[in-house]
Amino acid sequence: MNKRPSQKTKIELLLNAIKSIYSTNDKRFLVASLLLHIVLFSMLLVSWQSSDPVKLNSIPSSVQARVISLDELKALRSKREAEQKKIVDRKKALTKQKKDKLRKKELKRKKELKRKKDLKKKEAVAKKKKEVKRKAAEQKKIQIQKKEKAKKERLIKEKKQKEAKQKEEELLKKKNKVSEQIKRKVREQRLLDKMLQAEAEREQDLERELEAERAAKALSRQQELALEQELSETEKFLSLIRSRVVNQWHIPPKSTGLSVVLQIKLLPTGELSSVRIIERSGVKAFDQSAENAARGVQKYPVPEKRELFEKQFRVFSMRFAPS
Amino acid sequence: MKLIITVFSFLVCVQSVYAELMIEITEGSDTALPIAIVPFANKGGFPIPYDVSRIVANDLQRSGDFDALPIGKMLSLPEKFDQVHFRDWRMLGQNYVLLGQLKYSEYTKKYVISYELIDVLSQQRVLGEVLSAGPKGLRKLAHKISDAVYEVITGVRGVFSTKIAYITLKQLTKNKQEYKLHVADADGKNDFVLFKSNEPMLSISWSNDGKHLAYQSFHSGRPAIYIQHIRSGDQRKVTSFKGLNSAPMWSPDDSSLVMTLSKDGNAEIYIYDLATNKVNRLTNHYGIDTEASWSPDGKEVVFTSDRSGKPQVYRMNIKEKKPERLTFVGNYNARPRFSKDGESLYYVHRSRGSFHIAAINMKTEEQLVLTSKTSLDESPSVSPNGRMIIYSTLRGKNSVLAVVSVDGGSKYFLPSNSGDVREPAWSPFLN
Repeated sequence: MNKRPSQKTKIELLLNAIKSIYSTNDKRFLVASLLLHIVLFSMLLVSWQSSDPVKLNSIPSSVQARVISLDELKALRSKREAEQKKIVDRKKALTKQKKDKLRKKELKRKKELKRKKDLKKKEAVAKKKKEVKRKAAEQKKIQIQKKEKAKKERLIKEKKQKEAKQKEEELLKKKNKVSEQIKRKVREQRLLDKMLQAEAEREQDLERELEAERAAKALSRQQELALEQELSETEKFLSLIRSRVVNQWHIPPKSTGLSVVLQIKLLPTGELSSVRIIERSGVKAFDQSAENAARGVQKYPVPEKRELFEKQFRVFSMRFAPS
Repeated sequence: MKLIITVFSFLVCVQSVYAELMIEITEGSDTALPIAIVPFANKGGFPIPYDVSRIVANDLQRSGDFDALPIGKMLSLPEKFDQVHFRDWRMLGQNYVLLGQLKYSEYTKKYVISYELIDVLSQQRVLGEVLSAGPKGLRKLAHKISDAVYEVITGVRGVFSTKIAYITLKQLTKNKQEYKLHVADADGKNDFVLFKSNEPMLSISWSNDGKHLAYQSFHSGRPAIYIQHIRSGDQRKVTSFKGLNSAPMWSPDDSSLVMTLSKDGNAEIYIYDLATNKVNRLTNHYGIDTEASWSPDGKEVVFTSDRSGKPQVYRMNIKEKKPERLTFVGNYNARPRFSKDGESLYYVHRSRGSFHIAAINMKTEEQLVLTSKTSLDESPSVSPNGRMIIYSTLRGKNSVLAVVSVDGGSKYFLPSNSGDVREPAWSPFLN
C-alpha cells in the first residue's frame, strides 16, 4: 500500500506556502508564488486522478450469500481448488517463465558482457596491435628519418669535405704556382747572380793576377823580409810548399770528390826522401797524379832552423782533394 | 783561473806543434800535363806512310789535357827504357816520356810497333805494348796508342779512335749546290763521302752501335728522315710525313728516334719506334718544339721551344710529358745535348748578338760559356768520353768545325778542303 499524503494535508501546505509568500512584499516573490501555485495545482490534478483506484480499494466490499448444496459446494470447492491450482501453476509458470526470462536475461547480459568484454579485449588487442604497429611505423619512420638525416648529414659532410679538399687543392695549386714562380724567379736570379759573380770573379782573378805580377816584380828583398817577419816560420814554409805542389799537380779530368793523402819525408836540404800513399782515392790515375805532384817539386823549401825542420818538415802529410 | 787557462792553452799548442803537419791541396796547375813523345825509331829504314809518333803527339796535344814537348827541345831521343836519362827529362819539366820502335816485316807485310810510356818522376814504366798493322792501318794504330796513353794517365777513356760525321756544302753554279755527308776520323783525317745530293741535308745522329747514321734530307723533293748503314751505304727512308720531318736522334738503346714532325699541324716532338713504325707524340703546344735529344738514361728528352716567346731549352720526362724550362739566361738558348754522364747540358747560347756554345751544370744550374772567341757557333755534339765538344763556327767566310774541351780550356779547328762544313756529329766508342 502506497502511503500518500492526504488531500487535506496538501491543501494545508499550499495555504502555508501562500501565507509565507504574502507575508513578504516583494513582487518577485509574488511571481514566484504564482508559478509555484501553477506547479502545485498541476501536481494536485495528477495526484487526484491516480488516487482513484486506491479510493475503490479502500471501500469494503459487501458479501452476497446464497444457499448451495454440498455437492455443489464440493464442486465449487474443487473448482476453486482447481482454479487456485491453476492460478498457482500459472504463478509457478509465470515465476518459472520470469526466472527463465531472468536467467535468459542474465545469460544474455552475461553474454553481452562477455561479448563486450571480448570486444573490449579484441579492441584492446587491436588497439595494442595498432599501437605496436603505429609505434613500429613510427620507429621505422624515425629510423628512416634518422637514416635520411644521417644520409643528409653524410652528404653535407662529404660535400663539405669535397669542398674543403677542392679548396685545399686549389690552394695547393695556387701555392705550387706561386712557389713555382718564386722558384723560377729565384733560379733566374741565382743564375744571373752566378753569371755576375763569375764575371766579377773573373775580373777579380785577372786583377789579382796583374796585381801578383806587379807585386812579384816590385817585391824587393826588404818586402820579403817584412813578409817573413809577419808570417811565422812554419806558416811561411807551408805556404811555399803548397804553392810549389799546386804548380806541379795536373788534376786528371772527372776528379771532383776524390781525395788522396800522401806522407812526405824530406832531407834537411829540402830534397824528397820518399813519398808514400797513406790514404788511396780508389782511382789509380788520380793517386798517381798526386804522387807525381809531390815528386815533381825539385826542392822543397824548408826552414834553416834544424829544430823546426825536425819538428814539422822532416815528415808531414799532404791531402789532395780538388774543390 | 787565468793561470789554469794559460797552462791548458800551452799544452794544446805543444800538442799541435808535435802533431804531424797536414797540408791541404785543393787546386792544381792550369797548365796541361807535360809529355815528351820521342819520334819512334824506324828500325830497318823501310818507308813509313804515316809518322805514328807525330799522330800520337797531335792527338794528345789536341785533347787539351797534354802539352807535347817539341822534338827540337829534346836533349836525347831514347828508343828504350834503359836509354832514358831521367835527369834530362826532369830538367825539361816532363812528367812522362813516350818512346818506341817501328819495324816493317817483309814476311807479314806489316809494321810492328813496340812502345813504352815512362813516368819520369817515379822513374817507372807505366805502359808498354807491341802492336802491328798494315800500311793502311797505321793511322788507326797510332790513335789506339793515343787512347791507351790518355787513359793510363788521366783515368778517362780516349776518343782518338772514334769518328765524326759532318755535312759539306759546295756552290757548283749560281743556283746549284752540292751537299755531301762525310765520315772521318776524330782528327778530321781519312774522310769519305757516305751520301751526296743537290738538296740540303741536316741533323746527323749516330746510332749507339756506331753502325748507322740518321739524318734529314730533301733529296726526294720533300723533307724526309733517312737511316744509312755506314759500311754498306744502304739507305732507308724512315719518315716522310706531310710537313716537317727533321732533327732525328737515336734513343740510347737504338730502338727509336726522337724527331720533329709537323704532320698534325704544328712542329712537335715525337718518338718514332723503329720496330713498329709507330709514333708517340710528346709535346702539344702552339709554339715550335724541335731539336730534341735524349738523356743518357733514355727517360727524358731535352728540346728547343719558343713557347715562352723566345727559343729556350726545355726538359721533358717521356712518360709524364710535362715540359720544364731549363735555361733562363739570355733570349736565345737552343739545340741542347746532354753530356754522357747526364751531369751537364750543352747548347747554343746567344749573348750580345753572338752565338756561343754554353754548358749548364744540371746539379748547380751554373752556366758557363765555353766559346767566347768565335761568333757564330752552332750544332754542338759531345765526344763519347764527355771531355770534348765538336761544333761548327764561322771562320772567315766559311763555316768550319771546331773542338773545345768541356771546361772551355782548349780549342782547335779541324782542317777542311770542302767549303762550308757544318752539322758535325761525334760517334760513340767504336770498339
